[in-house]
Amino acid sequence: MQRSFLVCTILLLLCAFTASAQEKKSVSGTVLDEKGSPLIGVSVQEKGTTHGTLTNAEGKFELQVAPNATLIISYIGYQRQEVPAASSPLNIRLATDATGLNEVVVTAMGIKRETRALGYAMSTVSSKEITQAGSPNFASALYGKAAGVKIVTAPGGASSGVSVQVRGVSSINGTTQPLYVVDGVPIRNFNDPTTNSFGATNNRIDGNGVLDINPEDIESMSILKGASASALYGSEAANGVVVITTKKGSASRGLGVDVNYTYTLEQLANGMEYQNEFGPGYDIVTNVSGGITDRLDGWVTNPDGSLRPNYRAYAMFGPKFDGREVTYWDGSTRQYLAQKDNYKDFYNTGFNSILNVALSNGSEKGNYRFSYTRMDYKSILPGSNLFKNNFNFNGTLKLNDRVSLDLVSSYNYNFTHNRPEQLSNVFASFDGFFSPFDDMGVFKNKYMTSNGYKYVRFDNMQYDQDEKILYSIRPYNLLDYLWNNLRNSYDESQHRFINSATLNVSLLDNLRFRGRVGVDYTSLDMTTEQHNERPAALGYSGKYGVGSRKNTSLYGDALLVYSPKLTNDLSLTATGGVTGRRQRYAYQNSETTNGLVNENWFSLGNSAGIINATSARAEQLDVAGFGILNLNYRDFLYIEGTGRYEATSTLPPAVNNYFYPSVNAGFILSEVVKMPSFMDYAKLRASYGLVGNHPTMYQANVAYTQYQIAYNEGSLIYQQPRHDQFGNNDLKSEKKREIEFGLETRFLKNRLNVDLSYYNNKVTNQIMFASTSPSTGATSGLVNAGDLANYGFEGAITARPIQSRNVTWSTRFNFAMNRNKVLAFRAGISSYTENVEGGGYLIVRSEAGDPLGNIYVHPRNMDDKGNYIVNDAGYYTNNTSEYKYMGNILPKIVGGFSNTVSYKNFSVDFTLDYRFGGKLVSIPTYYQIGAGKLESTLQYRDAARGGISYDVIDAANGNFQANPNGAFHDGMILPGVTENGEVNTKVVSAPGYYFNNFEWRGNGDYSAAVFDNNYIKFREIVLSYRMPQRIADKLHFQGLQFSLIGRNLFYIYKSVPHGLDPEVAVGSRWLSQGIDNGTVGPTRSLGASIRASF
Amino acid sequence: MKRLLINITILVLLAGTFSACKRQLEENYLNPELTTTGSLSKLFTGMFINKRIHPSYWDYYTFIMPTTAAYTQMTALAPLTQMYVPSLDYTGGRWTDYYNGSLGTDYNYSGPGILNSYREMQTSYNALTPAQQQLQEVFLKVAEVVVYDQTSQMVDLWGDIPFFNASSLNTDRIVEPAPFDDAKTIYDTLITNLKALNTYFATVTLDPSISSELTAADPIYRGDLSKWQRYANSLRLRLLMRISNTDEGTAQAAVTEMLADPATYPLISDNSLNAALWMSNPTLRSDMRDALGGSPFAPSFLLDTLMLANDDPRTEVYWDQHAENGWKSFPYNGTNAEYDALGFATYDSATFFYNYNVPGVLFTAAEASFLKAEAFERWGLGAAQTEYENGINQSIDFYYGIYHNRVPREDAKAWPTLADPTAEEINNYLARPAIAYTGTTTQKLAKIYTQKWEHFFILQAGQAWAEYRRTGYPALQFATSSYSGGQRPPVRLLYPPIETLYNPNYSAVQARDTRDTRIFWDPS
Repeated sequence: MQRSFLVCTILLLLCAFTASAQEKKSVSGTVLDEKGSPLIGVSVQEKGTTHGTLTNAEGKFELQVAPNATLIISYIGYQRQEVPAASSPLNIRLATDATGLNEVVVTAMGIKRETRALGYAMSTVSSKEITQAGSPNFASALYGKAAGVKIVTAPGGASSGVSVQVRGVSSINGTTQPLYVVDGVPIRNFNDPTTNSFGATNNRIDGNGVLDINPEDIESMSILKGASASALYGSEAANGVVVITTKKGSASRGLGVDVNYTYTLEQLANGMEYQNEFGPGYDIVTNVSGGITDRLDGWVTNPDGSLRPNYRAYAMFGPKFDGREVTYWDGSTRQYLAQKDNYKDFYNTGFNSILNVALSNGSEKGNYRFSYTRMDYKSILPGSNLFKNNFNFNGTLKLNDRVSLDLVSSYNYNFTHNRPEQLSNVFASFDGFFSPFDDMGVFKNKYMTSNGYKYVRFDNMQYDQDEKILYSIRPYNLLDYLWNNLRNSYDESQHRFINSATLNVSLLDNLRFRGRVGVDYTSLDMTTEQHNERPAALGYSGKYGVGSRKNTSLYGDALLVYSPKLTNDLSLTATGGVTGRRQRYAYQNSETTNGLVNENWFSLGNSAGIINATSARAEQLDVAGFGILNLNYRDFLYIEGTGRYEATSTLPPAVNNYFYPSVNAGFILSEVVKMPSFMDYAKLRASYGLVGNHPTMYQANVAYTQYQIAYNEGSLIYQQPRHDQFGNNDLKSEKKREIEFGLETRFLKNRLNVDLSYYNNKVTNQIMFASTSPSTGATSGLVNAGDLANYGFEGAITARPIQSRNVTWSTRFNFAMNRNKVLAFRAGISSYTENVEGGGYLIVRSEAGDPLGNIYVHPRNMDDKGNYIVNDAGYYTNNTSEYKYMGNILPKIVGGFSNTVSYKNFSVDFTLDYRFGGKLVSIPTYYQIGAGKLESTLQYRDAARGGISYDVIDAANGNFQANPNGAFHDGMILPGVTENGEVNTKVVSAPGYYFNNFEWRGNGDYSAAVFDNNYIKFREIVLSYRMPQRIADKLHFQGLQFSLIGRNLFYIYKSVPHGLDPEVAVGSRWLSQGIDNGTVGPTRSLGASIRASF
Repeated sequence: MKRLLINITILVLLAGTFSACKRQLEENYLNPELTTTGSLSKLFTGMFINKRIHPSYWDYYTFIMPTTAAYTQMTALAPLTQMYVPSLDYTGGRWTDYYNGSLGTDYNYSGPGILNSYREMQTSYNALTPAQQQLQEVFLKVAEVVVYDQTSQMVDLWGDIPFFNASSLNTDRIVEPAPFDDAKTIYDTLITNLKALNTYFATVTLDPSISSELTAADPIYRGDLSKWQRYANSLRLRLLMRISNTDEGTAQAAVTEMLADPATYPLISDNSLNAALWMSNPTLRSDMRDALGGSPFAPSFLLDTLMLANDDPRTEVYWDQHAENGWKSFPYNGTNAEYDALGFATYDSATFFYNYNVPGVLFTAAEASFLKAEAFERWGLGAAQTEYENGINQSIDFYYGIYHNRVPREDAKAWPTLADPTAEEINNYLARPAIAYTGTTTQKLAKIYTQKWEHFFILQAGQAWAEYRRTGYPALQFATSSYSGGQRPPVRLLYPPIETLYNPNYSAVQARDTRDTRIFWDPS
């Protein structure tokens, strides 16, 4: 109550203040560039006020000002000037400015401020950087371009979500994604607002809301990183804020038409390093003791006496490829030879085509821009494609000198067919393990019979018997994948409207009002069509489902800006406002059950069972009042204080309101102290802020679900408490306090700029679905579990090493280091533990004092001298009651390196990005080692590769006798001691070693699933040719540019072995980003673009 | 003045907006799809939807077939290196379902937990007025029978488990890791409390409104408290016999008291009194085709040695012959190649594979009869042979009952109708030397145990495993696995990491957490 009173008082004060009227005089003038050409649209502002105007098409302006006023003349790309409004007309010449010092950037709540006045670090990214390489969305164009901003694009292509993480991990369990604000309106990022992360749904890789923002429509982007920068967004700002401004028409250019077209081919970038020497089969002991085959060479005898490999084996320890003729499981006779790199045949060559046409115009009365974008995309994954239509309108209407109205409207239609499905069932499940003998073409042919039914297993006696798979094979999951994605369909069609209207009114010369409303509406329809897998007479199968999802976000804010003139040295701006946002969500889904009665008729009426209908709805309300106070002392000291008082419906009513203050200061040292001559500029920044992170809606509820099921003649109605994610009616909001210092310097006539920041934050009341033991009542419970601290350094170095008439080279390097630590745990929680590989064989655990993301596996049993102990069979064993530390999952340093080299009309832009430190966990890779699929597992499999020779005495019991002249040459003796302490002399086979040492749980050595993850990636390159202006003019173009582009090209360096991709992980959570669960291959794009303007 | 008026208006407007907002914020806190009002009867009903109580695909496929059925040879195993090392994910699922269950309406995979439903009942009960508490107490009492049954099954699998202080989230709404309670103490408590329940059910009178609420909420007995009394007593008899090999004195005294006074301690003495949850197609149904499909073959001891050799009348209702190979079973030491070649007898198509109405079995008359037979035989309390033969007759009747009550799947074929065994056939069976109640006490007990084992079959494989461990019968042979540390079936399950990783109290029982630590009632 006290706080709401405070807010009211601030608002009241703002209302009560009125500027005292002053004598005015008229001043006019012309603004010209260095060559004397008029500059159009230049901002002319009376210093210390918000009162100002723009120059017209002749570069002229006229303004009413106070008698002793000073004018500030600013224009993007030119150096700011201050001119006393002494005489009239004024003749002002602006010098070009490549330093960006006087850039005006959009900060929180859509307030524009000069860069020099900021007291906190902020990264800005230009339109060119976002669009030039043809990225299908703006977020994955940000790799390496903003210090402290980590981008992770899920594999699969244009429909896969992009995670943006600013300054490390602020929340263990809550969202780690920033708030996206487009033209002042917060937009939806999550598909389902009752969740706070995205990854995969039904094994298909999720998208997220930012994919719908058309990169071609973005004018500029600011990333607010620290708590002070984002404090005005309160509880949504703990993970930073991405502020996007879309393109407008401009009066200076008049009518303009831009046409851009980009086409890239999408290919598999790299894949695993598989061995191509041995076919499917197990080791001798497994073969003989399991009764698979008595033959020691691993061949299986057919009833007619001929031989075949063990097609059922998931391991690749079978006979060496020798070219003999064998019967393949499709019935054909083939030479027993490897199908080298057969996994590549699984993938397609896709494409990405983007056409953008934009029309813009402007005059003194206003301006507009209309843009249309069409995108067609075919993924490298079989059966996945999409298209998008995007319409965007952005207009400003100047009603009179004092009132203007901005309208931004975009409509986006997406159609996604078979969103890429993760390959976890193929790479992380033995039932997907195909062998190097397998022919991908046969899988692509066999997944469906000629009658349209699902493939016929060897033991299926029911239908299409002439197309039956001849033998018991292993990789049914691969056939299922193809069936699912080539025969069946899952389609999403999404309409999204984002509209906003902003009214600007200059009430008085020094009092301005701005009101804004915005709506972000999404309507998504989902259709599932699964064909009948077998004739309906043999049992119903298949499925039809139809669902829809509607998201509405209604946003409004209103603010008053008051800028009284205090003294000549000190100016002040006070802003007060209110803001509110209501989010609504509705979901429903209906689907057939127990199969379809009439084959392949997709209708709910065709359901064999009762139609299953589900629905959900949700609503969230957030309201806040806020105030900002800006002080500017003689243009070298800037101080800003902000406060936001907020209430949210996602917290229990008793504790649902919070106050979020912040303060920051920018001090331009070089204006006060004499700098050495090589130093042009130096600025110090300091800031402190408090932001929050409240739980996702309804998470804190303690409530029962009620179900009704028909039972005999009546029904059973039952209630069920939550089994996981148990709520908490005493929950408090997470609070992040951050302090930040920064230094900005420019040297050597602005050819070298260095910007450094240090931050230190503490996030208290970590809201966490703490994993709890089932005996606690649920497998996880929502608690304020403890405190987390982060600190880090960020830096950006910008340089122009070469700057001559024809050649320029500019380069930008940035880095970000973040360290975090869990300070304390509370509420019955003693550690944060994730059971990554079920069974506790690989866990991620942090106790108080640890950083997040420590990886542990079971150690090997050892004697007190540190020797490994082998068991009776000759293998190492696990000590399952202990854990050993394997490293941390989070990166230590990330960043990028961008360059632009131009020579006359040619230019090359290229970007590298890097990551060092931290581990990648890949359980699928581990299983592929155990199955002998990888090239690395050839070690010891013959004498040339270190195998020792032996004879088989008793195959079933693994009794092998070392013998230099033995019949087998793939033996090993594992260094170690027996349980009695004697030196181990037991001979095992290399296949047996891989098979047992990297087995599923049991005595598996999961340390082999943890890899260092360092890389430097050549992210993008753009080779452009700009048509000389005189030729373009003749062709009636304003500009014409051709480019060759490449994205996600290759790794200059990577530490993960076996051909594994460092960016294989899926999901927005910090943890899932370090864990590979068997996703899809990475995509490389190569193509060309043309950009023309008329 | 004018300005003041304007300002006051603005303030009033603001104040109005704030209070409207405040109300709206509170309304939006709660998920409109959920209720915060717990109902004792509805929470009680939920327990029967637990997927370990009714036959679910997940329970059969991931737990019963590879674990309890496999370790009692109710199903044939293809040799695998880790066949005697149960998956900790799957056993963890069994563990979690007792405590938490999972939300959802696909009953093959989801359903409420037992203990957290019961704790929520207690929490809701405590929030009632004393008058309402007195009315609604019966829901807690019937729920206790279900909880005690399921809790004893947890003890049979793991030994010590968190029980008395478990489910703090459901009671105090806080995370408070529960200690592991001593298995014997839990059993003793259950046995004591079941006796009190007998008295309660015998004496309570229900308000008519509560009585009809219970009738609607109770899918197994439709609110008939006399049947609940029989279930409670039969369960108590089971638990007492379970401890009788390690604490014979206690067991013998209590059992003697019970069996001497059937009027005070009525038991489940007829199949019409069975505690069994029958299905209701299509909303709640057994999905056995896919569940048994992974391990469908008849094991040789049960089929050949016990059933075929003695013309067991249940053979046709348990098993289907293979089309070409007839009654061919899979030997305990068969090979993978043999298994892959197929061609074995399988579970019966009409009764199991293609039947939507396989019940969830909690307690049957046959088990009560066999328990009585054992007590009579060991302690001379009565005519053991009568109870033994009763048990066999009730078992035959029970399995044919499932056959008759079957609800065929859509893709079921028109198999020839199975005739009920005649009295003559049953008598011939009872006269077989291997079946007839003859021989030494040890031999007789072995016959009781073996018949009970056969009766449990896959429907109560957990009971079969517990009794096999307690009694050592039937004498099964197991193939030896080459897997070091897992060559024979375990005698208990390891605690799943889902519990041990997050419960600091695990350290107190960690030393005993091995596959060779016997449950307290396991004598050998």
